[in-house]
Amino acid sequence: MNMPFLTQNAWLPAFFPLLAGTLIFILAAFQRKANQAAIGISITGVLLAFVASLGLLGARFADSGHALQGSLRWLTAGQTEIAMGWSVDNLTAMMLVVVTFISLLVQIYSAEYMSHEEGIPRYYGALSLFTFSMLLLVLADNLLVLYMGWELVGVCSYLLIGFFTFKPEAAAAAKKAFLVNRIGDFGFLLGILILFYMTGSLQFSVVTEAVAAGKLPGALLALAGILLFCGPIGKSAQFPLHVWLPDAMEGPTPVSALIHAATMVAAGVYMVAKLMPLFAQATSPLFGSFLVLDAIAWIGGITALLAAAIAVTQTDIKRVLAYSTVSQLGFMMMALGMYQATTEAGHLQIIPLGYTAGLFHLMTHAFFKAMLFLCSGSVIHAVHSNDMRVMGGLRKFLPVTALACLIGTASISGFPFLTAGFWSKDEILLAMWEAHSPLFGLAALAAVLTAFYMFRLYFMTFEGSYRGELAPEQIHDSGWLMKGPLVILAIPSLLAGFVGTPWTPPAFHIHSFLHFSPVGHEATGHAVATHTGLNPVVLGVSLFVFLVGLGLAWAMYGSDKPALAPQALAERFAPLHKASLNRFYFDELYLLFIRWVVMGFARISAFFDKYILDGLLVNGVGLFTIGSSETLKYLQSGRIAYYALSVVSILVVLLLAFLKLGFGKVGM
Amino acid sequence: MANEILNIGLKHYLLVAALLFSIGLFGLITSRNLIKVLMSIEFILNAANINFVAFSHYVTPHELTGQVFAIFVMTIAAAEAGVALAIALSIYKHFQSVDMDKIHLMKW
Repeated sequence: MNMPFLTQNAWLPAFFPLLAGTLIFILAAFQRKANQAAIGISITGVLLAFVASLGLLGARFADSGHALQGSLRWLTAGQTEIAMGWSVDNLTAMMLVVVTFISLLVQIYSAEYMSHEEGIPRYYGALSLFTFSMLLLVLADNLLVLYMGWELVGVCSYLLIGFFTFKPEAAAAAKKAFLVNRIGDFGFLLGILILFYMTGSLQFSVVTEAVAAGKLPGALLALAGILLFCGPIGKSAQFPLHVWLPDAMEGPTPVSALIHAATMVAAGVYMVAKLMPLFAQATSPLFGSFLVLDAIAWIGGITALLAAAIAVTQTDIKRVLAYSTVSQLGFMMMALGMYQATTEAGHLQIIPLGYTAGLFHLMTHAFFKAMLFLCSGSVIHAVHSNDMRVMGGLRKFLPVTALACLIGTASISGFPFLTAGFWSKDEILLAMWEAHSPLFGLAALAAVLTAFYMFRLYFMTFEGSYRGELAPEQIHDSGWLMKGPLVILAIPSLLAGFVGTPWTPPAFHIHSFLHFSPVGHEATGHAVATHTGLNPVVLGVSLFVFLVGLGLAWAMYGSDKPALAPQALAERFAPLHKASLNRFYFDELYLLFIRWVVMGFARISAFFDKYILDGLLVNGVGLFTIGSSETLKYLQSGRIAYYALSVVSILVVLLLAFLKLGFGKVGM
Repeated sequence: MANEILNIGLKHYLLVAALLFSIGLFGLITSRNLIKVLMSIEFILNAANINFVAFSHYVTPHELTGQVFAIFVMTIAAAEAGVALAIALSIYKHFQSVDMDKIHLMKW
């Protein structure tokens, strides 16, 4: 591809999947069973998008000065112009490659995984449109286009979670995901409107500059920040809106890997990073030095620990991974919320210490979590069950999958030095350590749980002996269309971390590629100093955390006769175990809330509508009209003389009244 | 005193017109006969005509607006009389009567 052409038209990556998706849906309208064509078109589209994204990433590496941007005028209303703008900075370029890479592998994987299903064109059409929406979101240079992509990924996610239309649970899960997301998106929209109202623009650069110039009063900025953060809370499944993501596992497993692990749920993290200049400015006068960033960090921390605590007792393999995703997203949010406040000439300067770490983890997590989900898909494909209690010993039957899963597990748990997850999680812990955050202990605990539940998953699935009912010869590893993506994803799951080690040359270091620049410093490339290096305390904590988690999992699930019986432990901590098994009763709580508060309010409204509005007002007006006309109709006697008399007498009365009251003098 | 009576002015015309109008109105309200009603209407119209001409003569002597208006009213009155008499005739054919009290179909 011609490089100048590509850099001038940086929207190309989003264009190919859109074209592919549209073509597939048109084709499917004529030919319902165009499976091979749909697969071909979709994979070609995303492959082209991947190549274009790689080109853009290369261009950013070669020259990371000004962002590659451009725009089309979309609509003009008075003084306000809204553009369809795109902009590729380093963060966008990285996201483009991650999204298209995983989308490509997932689509290849799906070709085999979904081969027995009905409605392949619908599946691939929705996948292509999802990829388009995600790329639109990533490429956006203003809030409106971002919001558009944001809602579109929500729609595509809805379509794909509910793909198995014959399953009522899938339909319910799709609806739940959509509705829960809407709650967050509503806040997001309100935040956008506040910013638009106060700054008159939707462009990121204009908005952040206006914010830096102090155009928004502090309280309003804080409110806008909190409202904007509602969006990521919904989309990235943060506490308290995390309930939709585990249910979203009703969708096909490759969809879970692409949307609900690697890309869409990362949109929230991406958005927080993109609007970091704004969030870093948002102080709340209500709580003294409390920043919106603190709220982000605490929400992330609570999510990380809560989801990890739920994951340790779940037995559905996909649900463990789903809660693990929620927990890891919490880690990323927590990292983005870390900051160091300095006062420079009386002006509060916020340096977000965890900016790079959070995005680094976003990237590595996308690789290994997508791979883990694809592994679980491979396992489910082989044993036709999601329940880990009827698995075990599958390593003999699925050697490639087992190896990939082991690599993914090691990576997410933070196996020292060799895996990507170790380096990115280490960065997060390091950022938290340097920010002197009280959340550090919480993060360490969540990391212990992470290592524990991931190795629990691995041991229960692949080690020990098989506990299911299938005959050994019925279980077989999947074909190369499914194994290939696993092998390919294993590489970045191990190696992607090497852009963030202390020994990485600065030119290739993630800190020099992705760093937070305060407003007004982008052009000069002045970077806020961020740390690189190996902190012995943090490293020690990382290692300790990994070993404790691994050891516990080994002791409890490592073999058929564990040293530490899970059953005994569960009975020992019965209330805790029960609460975790029931996901801390969040769904029940929400159901109660809906049943009593929402439904109660709905009943009151219905009563008001039925009896006050319809009964008293609408019907009342009608009845009054009928009654009065029934009375007044007798005036219509048919005798003209009476009419004349009444006209004349009323005229006389009016005349006398005017003369008496002197209205006539006005005209004279 | 005699002079004052002979000196006819606007006031006298208006008095005559008011008298004529009142007679017409009285006839309109009290008459039962359709033809009498029509005649009463003519009274009212002519009362208005007298006002027009009188005002025209005394208030704007050099313009003929009032007189022209009176001619218009007469024309329309003639046309109206034609239509009304035709209606009266057909009512008589239908009811064998021109008594207004008996013709009250247009009611609730």
